[in-house]
Amino acid sequence: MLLKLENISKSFGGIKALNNINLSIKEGEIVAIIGPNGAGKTTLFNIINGIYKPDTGRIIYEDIDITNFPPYKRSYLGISRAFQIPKPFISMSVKDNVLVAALFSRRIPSIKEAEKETERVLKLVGLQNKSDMIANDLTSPEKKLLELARSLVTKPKLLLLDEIVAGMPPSDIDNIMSLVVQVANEEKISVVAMVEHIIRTVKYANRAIFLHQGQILLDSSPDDVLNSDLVRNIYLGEVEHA
Amino acid sequence: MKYGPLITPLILYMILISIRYINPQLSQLTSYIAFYVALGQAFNIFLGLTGYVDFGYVAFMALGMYGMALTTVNIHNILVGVIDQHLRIYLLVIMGTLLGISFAVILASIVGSIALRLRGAYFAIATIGVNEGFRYLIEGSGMWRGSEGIIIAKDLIELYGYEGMTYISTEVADLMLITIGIIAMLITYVIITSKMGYALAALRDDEDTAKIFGINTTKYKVFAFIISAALAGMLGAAKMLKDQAVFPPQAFSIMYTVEAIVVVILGGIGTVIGPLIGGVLYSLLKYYLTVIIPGIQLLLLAPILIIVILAFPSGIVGFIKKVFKSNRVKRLVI
Repeated sequence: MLLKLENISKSFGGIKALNNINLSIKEGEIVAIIGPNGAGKTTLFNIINGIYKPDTGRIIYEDIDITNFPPYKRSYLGISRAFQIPKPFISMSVKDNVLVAALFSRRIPSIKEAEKETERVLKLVGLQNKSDMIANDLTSPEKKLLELARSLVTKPKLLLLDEIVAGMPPSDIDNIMSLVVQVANEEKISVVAMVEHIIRTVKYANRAIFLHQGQILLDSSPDDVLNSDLVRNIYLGEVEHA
Repeated sequence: MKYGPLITPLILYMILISIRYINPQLSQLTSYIAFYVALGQAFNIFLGLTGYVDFGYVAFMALGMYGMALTTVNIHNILVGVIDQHLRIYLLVIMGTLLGISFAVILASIVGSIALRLRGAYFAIATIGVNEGFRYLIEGSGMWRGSEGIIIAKDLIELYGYEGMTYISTEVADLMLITIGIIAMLITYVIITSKMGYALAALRDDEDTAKIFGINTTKYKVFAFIISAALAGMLGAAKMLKDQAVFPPQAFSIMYTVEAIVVVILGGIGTVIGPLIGGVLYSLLKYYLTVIIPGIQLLLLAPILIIVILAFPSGIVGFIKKVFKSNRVKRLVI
């Protein structure tokens, strides 16, 4: 078992963002987390990442209790995150953005190796021609690719993808998602992805979890989850009203 | 070429040194320039690389001055057996500088370990008190001769003769000033091109994200803080030999910190050559305005600086990099 969340709850003021979450992620799983806005997806990621501390419960990663570990310690252990709103180091070049992540990942032994990995990952996401550009000058979709590159270069074991394809045209979505799946399978990375276009992206996962109002209501194969009445009523029903 | 970016600044330093020795009449001007350049290079290692503003920075320089002053007044016994004049001067320089650096590093370790837990504006506020606090400590407790200050002219004459004293406050002090600038510049280059440089650049842009990617931001901030303080201590030691007197109100004046900020921003924050350009520009402006319109030079200096910074928001170096888009320029000017 790679990651285990036990009885995780988190409240902000009077609002219970996560309500007694129990969740296990195995090596090699690609999990899609779906749920309407406000369901608690971002909070869940922040809990796994270490940005928030849970009010109750434990987080076990590779048999270690990491509940009190700060984000950088979790990064050392191989938990990596690509943010929904990309936060590149704006005054540094694309290449340096990725290189920094590689240099401090503690899972890459030397500076030479870090540079090699940086080149490799930039090529993987298709940013190799822009490696000398200042990160701030990239387009929005390119910044998301940079986020992905940064989180991949650290050689993670668990990759948290936060709305990675939001705002992208359909063709790009397919390219990115199949890239993610390919890399995940080749490098044995477990992926937990929050997805926006559920119909287009969920098929890339081998497991889907439906989160609603801080609780896991469904945890099954993507097809089962997509076709369930519960999801159709709550999620797709809301789209119709909006 | 790995050391390419060092060529231009080193050439500029060589020019500065040449001017000083070829034309002794310009020695006052060149040492004025050398001081501000060194101040900027030293301060840049903290302000430029981390983005944090230490308003109490001048305290480290003042401590350097006191280190040299205390060494000078107490060195008589140590030099008793030493006959060779050059060796006698050498010992004073080394011991005084080491003491000045030690004082600065001790204060920096204390202040840094407390203040660097704070971010941005809170850090700046916390450090404002440092220079004032130390000044009043000296004046209030009477330590280190309190508000009387320390004047070493007589000691220097006793130790080295009148000619020796002049030699120290001109040749020796000027050489020290220029050397400190070069050392600070080299240290800046080594840091920028190392792993620490990447860590500092990242934390300057976004400290939270830097932490998430495994960077121990506190460690690197403290490191830069102490190195920058040590160089300020060295600078203070040199300044003491030049001015031959230290008084608390002047030594701990916040004006030096403000000027250091100006020099760094003018030249280009966080760059190797920036403080050199900024230092030359600022000191020349200030020097000639003081000559032309003494007493009200600040009245003109301030608007000029405002205009320059508005015109070159990323400093002169930033402007050069933007205008000359070629990669070769980008690699040679950092």
